[in-house]
Amino acid sequence: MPVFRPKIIGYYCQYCAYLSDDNFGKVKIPSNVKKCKLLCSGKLDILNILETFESGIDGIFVVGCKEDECRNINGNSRASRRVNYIKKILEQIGISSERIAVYNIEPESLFSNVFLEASAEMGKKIRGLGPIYK
Amino acid sequence: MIIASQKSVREIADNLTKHKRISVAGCGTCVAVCFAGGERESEILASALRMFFKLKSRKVEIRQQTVKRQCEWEFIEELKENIDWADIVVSTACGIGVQAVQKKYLPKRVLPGLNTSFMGMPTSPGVWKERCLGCGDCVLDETGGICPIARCAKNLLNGPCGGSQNGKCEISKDIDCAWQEIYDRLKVLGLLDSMNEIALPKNWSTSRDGGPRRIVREDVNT
Repeated sequence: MPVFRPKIIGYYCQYCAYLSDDNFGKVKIPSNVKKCKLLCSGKLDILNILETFESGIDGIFVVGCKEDECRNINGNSRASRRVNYIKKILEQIGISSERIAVYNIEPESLFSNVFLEASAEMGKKIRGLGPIYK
Repeated sequence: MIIASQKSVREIADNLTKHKRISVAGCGTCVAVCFAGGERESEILASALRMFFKLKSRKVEIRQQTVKRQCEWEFIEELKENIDWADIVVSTACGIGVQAVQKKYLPKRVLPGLNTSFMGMPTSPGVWKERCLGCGDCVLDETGGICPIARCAKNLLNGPCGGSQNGKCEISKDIDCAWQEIYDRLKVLGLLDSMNEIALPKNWSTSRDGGPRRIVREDVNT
């Protein structure tokens, strides 16, 4: 039986989680995690995330700035509230809300490993949950 | 505007057990402004329903369309193609829109996607509060522009009840006492004397007590 390799998308705020494609080149992000830059985590879009799950992505995480340290004042808290809304909808339709998570880090943490750690943690969690559609 | 909240996707999906083609109809007026049933919200519902059926391995097609408003015949005419195509319709309009679409497209079944709640306005982002009960006999001229019918739990017309404490209603400390607000407003307007005027019993026949209401304008009527 082939090993389940979850398809994951990691959204990240351009100001904190990381910062340039060069920087991503320095850390080895697992190949099953697709990175997607946001102007701010507050740019996270509910419909876009749902359609991403609809298309068969097994897990999504968002890396934004630490609480009260958003460069755009409250983009990170907006992202968290939108993720909570998405979690609610996922639960209503029978999908584990664990399939989406938010990680917060210090702004300007240019060489932080949070994205990498989030990739590993979500990968482990989603492997445990199995594919979104059986 | 009319304020509504979204029904649980599960509650809606449970009524769609045998259908293969579903039309989700959004409304672009009041419920779009209160983020309950506009274009984006109906797209979100359509996406959630598609996922729900995919999980159940059911082949269901879902189309989404939003019209300017669902409470007027001319606008819901635009839904015809998608409604004719569908086995069933989920409308994310207020109760008025659901009833209009249902009547227009009989015998197609139309289900509500929202719980229509009240006439109100946003008081801060994400918070909507009731402002008008549609009693049909407006008293805002006497109360400084604050409605005691909609905003006082007891619809009182002659000042607060004994449950008014520190400006709050006895129902909840999160609810302001409408009569405290009226008093403060009349003070600002220099009309505090009007608090001494006794309001006579209200004619509730213009409200729901007179049954379903209608307004006829001969100058507009054809």
